[in-house]
Amino acid sequence: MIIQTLELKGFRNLTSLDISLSSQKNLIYGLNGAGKTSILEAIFILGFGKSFLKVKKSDLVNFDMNAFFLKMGVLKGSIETELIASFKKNGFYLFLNKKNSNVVELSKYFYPVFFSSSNYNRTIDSVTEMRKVINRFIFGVHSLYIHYILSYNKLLKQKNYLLKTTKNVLELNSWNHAISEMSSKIVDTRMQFINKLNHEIENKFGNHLTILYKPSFDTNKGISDDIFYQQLEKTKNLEIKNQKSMIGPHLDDFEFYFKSINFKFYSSGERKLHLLMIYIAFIELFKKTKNQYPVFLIDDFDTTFDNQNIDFLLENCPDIQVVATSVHKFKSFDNLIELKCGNKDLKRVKNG
Amino acid sequence: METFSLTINKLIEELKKIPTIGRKSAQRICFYLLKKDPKVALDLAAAIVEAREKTILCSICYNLTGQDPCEICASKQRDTTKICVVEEPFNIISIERTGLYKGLYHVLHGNLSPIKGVGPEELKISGLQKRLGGYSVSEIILATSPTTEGNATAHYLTEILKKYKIRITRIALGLPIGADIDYVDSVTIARAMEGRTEIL
Repeated sequence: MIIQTLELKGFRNLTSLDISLSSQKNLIYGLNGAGKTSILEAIFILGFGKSFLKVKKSDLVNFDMNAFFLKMGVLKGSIETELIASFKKNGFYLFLNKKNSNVVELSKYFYPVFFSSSNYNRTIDSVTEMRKVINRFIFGVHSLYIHYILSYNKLLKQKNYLLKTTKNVLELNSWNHAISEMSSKIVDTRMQFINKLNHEIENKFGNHLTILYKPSFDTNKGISDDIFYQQLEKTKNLEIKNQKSMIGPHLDDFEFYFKSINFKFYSSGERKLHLLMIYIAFIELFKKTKNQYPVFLIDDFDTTFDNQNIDFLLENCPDIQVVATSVHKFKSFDNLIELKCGNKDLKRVKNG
Repeated sequence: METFSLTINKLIEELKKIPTIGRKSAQRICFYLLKKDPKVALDLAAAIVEAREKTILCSICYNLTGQDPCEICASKQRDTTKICVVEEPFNIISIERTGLYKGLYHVLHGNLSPIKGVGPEELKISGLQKRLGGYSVSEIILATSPTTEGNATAHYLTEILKKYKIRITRIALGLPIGADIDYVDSVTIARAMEGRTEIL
């Protein structure tokens, strides 16, 4: 899949922007505050329906405007598709070829992989961030996964509310039954995905690098609705006492290891490289599953990668479309787009 | 800036309280009623008042009815060994339209939802339990929606109905009849695959 065109209106500090992208390596460069990351954020929203930052949609609207509008022309095989995300006072909407749509439908035509210099440390240090990254990966290769996660989150919200407001054990059992059904689907999908990703990592980079999936439920006796329900039964009194859910896929952990040592104990540069290897392995897995590459978004390219990593990335992803941002200009990119503050002086420098 | 009179605004606000009616629809309905012959508005108002005054809940199944017990509960033609549990009265209309089901109904008037403050006490569940003592019921068909709340409600009912040692079934979930499989979303197809039946 390839982004061909991108049009933004009223998004962050970009009042109006219209760019064309090359099918290979694109670099958007400019001074801090020019809106480079906002462009990647807009592309990310068209892929996942929400920002990579914890921010309300209303906060993404330009100060001088009351709505934002994002339009992207995508090429998948020989099919051209138009993706639109718009936010107005009455809500957020996604459109596929001018028809009302949703993230699941849009993901059939476009899927971005986002790598940022500012979040790689957070990804490794925070269990929540790590889970988000893995969830996004699985969403890319498993069409039902997002439905499992959204349903599970709804169930969890209801259960936690119940635990805070009432002690009706019989009602709690019914939520636990529904939760165990959805949990077994999530854990099974995660387990299969991590096995495939580890296999891909081993194929590409040898067996030094591995991801360890540690489900909150004990899976030694297997993965099934009944097995998980029994565990929820055992934890029930503790949950009632603490007034919150204490076990489930929302507490699952993923640990990244290199030569049997957790990523957390490596230097910043090593962490970056190892994480990049996992991203590259995922991109390959995505290619094998979907028979096409995703679009690779890299924020703060010059901070994220040194020269060695740039070569490593370009060697390992020869056919993938890359959209990167940087303060500096790098001539190794096919398409250079200069973004100046206020974005009125947008300049296409090379092959644009 | 408000451009309508207080009485018009009041009507728009009242119409907006109806589910699925937003401001624009409320305005359209309001101006339709005001522009038409006054009889149209008066007949509508009278119909609403009459329906509200004469409609009660059936004391057996909790369906909306003009008589107690309702036509279905009072009928001698219905199969009293089966009770189909639905969320809302209008669900009965959809099932009746098929003409296939000849059993009785029980309306819960909602689903479990702690966030909305709906617990088992707010639903007509105790009424269902009472009915199981009075009839020779052999099957309870759970026809709650395939939503998170609908599933949790079905689990709750299964749990509390266990002791009656009767058959408890859930309506099948899957592909709509006549739908082209290419145009059905993946979640529905997955559900249909899970609920597949043996034909040979």
